[in-house]
Amino acid sequence: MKIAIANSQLLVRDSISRMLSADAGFEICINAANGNELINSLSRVSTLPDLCLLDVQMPQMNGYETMNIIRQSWPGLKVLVFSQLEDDFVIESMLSLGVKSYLGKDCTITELQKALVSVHEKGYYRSALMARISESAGNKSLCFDVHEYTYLKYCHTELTAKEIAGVMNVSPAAVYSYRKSLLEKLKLSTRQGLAMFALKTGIVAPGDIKFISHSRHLPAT
Amino acid sequence: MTEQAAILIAIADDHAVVRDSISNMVSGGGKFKVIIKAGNGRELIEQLAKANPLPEICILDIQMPEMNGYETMEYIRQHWPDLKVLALSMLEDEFAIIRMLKLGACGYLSKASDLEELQKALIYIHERGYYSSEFIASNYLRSIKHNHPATINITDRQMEFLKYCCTELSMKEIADKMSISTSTALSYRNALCDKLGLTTRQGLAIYAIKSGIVSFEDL
Repeated sequence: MKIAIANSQLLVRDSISRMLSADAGFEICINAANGNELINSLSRVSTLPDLCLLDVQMPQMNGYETMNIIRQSWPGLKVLVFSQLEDDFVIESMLSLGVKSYLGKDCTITELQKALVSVHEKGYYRSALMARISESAGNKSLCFDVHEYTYLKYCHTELTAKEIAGVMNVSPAAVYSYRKSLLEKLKLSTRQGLAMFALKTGIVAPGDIKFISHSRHLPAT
Repeated sequence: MTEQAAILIAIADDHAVVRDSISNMVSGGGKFKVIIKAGNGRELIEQLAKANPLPEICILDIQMPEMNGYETMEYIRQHWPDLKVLALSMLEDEFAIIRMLKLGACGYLSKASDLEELQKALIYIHERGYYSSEFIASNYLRSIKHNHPATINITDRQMEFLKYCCTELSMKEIADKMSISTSTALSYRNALCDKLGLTTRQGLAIYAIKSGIVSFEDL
């Protein structure tokens, strides 16, 4: 079984590779640090992997964006999420984007192997986290349009609303409407809340936050 | 080959696969033996209290639920001052590195390292008592060069304030929670912004997350 891994932490990738490679049934064919690298590798290989093991919280291109591209470009490719994030929103969003299983940080290597085999053979694996989701009522998945999503990615910065409007090439009034709509959808009351939401859900990864601290001392690169 | 007792290791990391793979790898050569595997700081402390013999080296993550790496490190220093600790975290912010070293960690390894480097770090710590790397050195150097040792002088109250900065609470509400006046809360905010070179509460919140003072589970 050929597997592609995208995970921002080398230690996690290395751990998975080693533990899986010890078993003759698994072969890691792509080892990517973010969604960009995964997509680039996928578009270059002559034979696609059987499965992708995808993280959500990744810099440059997060799991949502990666899954969107995979769904459009390689609709038959089966994807499992392996992530430290266990927020309902994240799990529901990734499932609604078409992933076949969602594994959290309590997942052991034995369960991971079981899940990979199950998705490969049956097309799905129901993890404990997925069971939790189906019990909780109400849809919390990704429900924003492109502009709202883009605005959400800027909320954590120190840019003013006007500056964000400039970067997004829209009017300040448009930015206020995105904000208002997001606050309503997510039942939050401040931009601060939106910023924390974006971080908590991996829409913005820690690696995306550049020079926020000591910004006055460090040269921008 | 001389018969040598394995070096006993404890691991605290909330990621099961990381715990298992570290344990597998380091136990592989027979040089190390993992005797404690914990999912957070509290579990580690509980198991340390029962351990006989104690492990020689603890591998400690920072962002963990219930009891984070900073709190765990402080507790270990007070109760088992001779226990060697290697911090292992995805955090690459100099606050995290310097704080863990100041609290007494013998080394700091980023999770952007591979298992080989982890093994090397454990051997160094066992043989020399510390592990230094290019990663630590460059961060330390940057901190000195830009003259902001201020990062490590955040008081407990300011730390608490930083945690509240990540919520939607207003300044007045934060002040109430901390049983201080609004003007004191504002003075915390200004002092922290000055120290960290930031201008807004938003910036402080992001800093708190980036440095691991607040973990994703707390949000």
